[in-house]
Amino acid sequence: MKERGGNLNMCIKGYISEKNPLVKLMENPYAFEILNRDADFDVELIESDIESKYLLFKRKFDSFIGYVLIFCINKITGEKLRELYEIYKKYCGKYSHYNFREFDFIIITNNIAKETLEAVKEYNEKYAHRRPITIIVNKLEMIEEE
Amino acid sequence: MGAFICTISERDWETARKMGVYGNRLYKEGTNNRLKDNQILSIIRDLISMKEGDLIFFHIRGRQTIHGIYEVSRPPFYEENRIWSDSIEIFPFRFLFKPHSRYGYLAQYDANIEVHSLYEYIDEREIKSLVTLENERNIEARGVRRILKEDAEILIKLLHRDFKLRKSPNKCAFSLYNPQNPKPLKNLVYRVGEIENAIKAVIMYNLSHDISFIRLLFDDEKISTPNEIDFANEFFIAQTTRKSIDIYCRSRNKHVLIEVKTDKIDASALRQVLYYRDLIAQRSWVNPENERIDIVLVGKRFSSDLLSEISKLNEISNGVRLMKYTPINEGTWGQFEYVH
Repeated sequence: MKERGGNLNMCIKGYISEKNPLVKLMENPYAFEILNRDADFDVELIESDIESKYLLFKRKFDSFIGYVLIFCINKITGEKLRELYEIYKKYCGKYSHYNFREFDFIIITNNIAKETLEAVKEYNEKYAHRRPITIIVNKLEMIEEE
Repeated sequence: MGAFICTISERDWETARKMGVYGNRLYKEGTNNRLKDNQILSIIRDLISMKEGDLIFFHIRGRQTIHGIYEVSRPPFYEENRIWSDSIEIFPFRFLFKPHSRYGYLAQYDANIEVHSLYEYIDEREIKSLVTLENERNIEARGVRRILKEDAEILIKLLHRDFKLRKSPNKCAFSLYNPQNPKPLKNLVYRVGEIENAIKAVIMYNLSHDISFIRLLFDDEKISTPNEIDFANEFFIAQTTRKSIDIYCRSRNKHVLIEVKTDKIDASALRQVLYYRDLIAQRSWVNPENERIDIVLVGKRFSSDLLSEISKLNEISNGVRLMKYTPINEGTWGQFEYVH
């Protein structure tokens, strides 16, 4: 079986430069090309939590086909990653009864520790039937307030 | 209390029922070829967790019926006295049973249900520990299957539902068998460390008999008797693709998936069991919000990277443990310790 995320850089799917990506994505879900019309089809924002810095989108093609949970967090530590994972798991339970194939898990960050990235790589390799955790690196520090 | 379904031929059922003795085969069906060690150990594995008082149902192959309710009156043993009329087979892997003390009226009239009644519940996913009673190309042929207690309760309900329609007209006679030189099945395990079914047999025995093993497995000192847990082996997680977990166990608020390898556990075994955990989590009868689903990988050795890989995984979500087994007493038993 092909290893997913075989090196650390493969966990990083792209780079952006934006002070407030959360607001941009609320205005336009296809901003930064994290989501795109050709593969994600219709995307609708269904929940947002500005304080916890995440957005939950529903993907549709005629009917519903999945969800995308996007976090925007300046610094990702191991503890923070566990916290985000718990939120991800909670939503996965709520909306798709723990079918992790239906849930994309994306993190926009401007600072992720190497060991945390290694944990993401391990997760992506071993949970081969789930959607991988996708890291988008923001070159700018994000605004902390709303 | 555990529960089992045992398959038997129409020819042998009357003798078994009357004498209260069930036997599993030593020879390949229809031949005089002795079963291979792996198959003998699978028979021991399936029987060894049986205890006095466990519920027993019989699946009569030719009739496509399930009969009950009986209870184990003597746990499994090996004995070579000829009971059945087969010219070669002596069915020496045996246990004794009697009509269940609470539901004696059912066995006295040989109460039964059609196998299809059971399949309707399997299709609805209300029965969890069985996918079929037929022998299929991609499934190991098994005479005895341990089932979950809640599945046994459905069978009890169905036997009562159909009792007025599906029973013999006359009361059945019983003349219970008395074994002459029985050897307890626990003493017949062999090749631990060489054959997967041997170490699985040890685990199955421990799950029904050894409270310290159960506490270790569930990481729960509050469990006071084996009756507080339930378990089944070769437990189908993905029915369509016929994928099964080696042993599925549950307590009041925890599920444990045990995956066993004879020798070395590597990353592919971990990947597989993580996927099985995701599949279990999707079942309507599992509530991951309030119930933990732990994984225990049992092996003699572990690949060099596995410990560090699991430590990294535990940075995000935990619940994976590695249990090392060591063959003891010249490969006739095993002992266990966690290494992670």
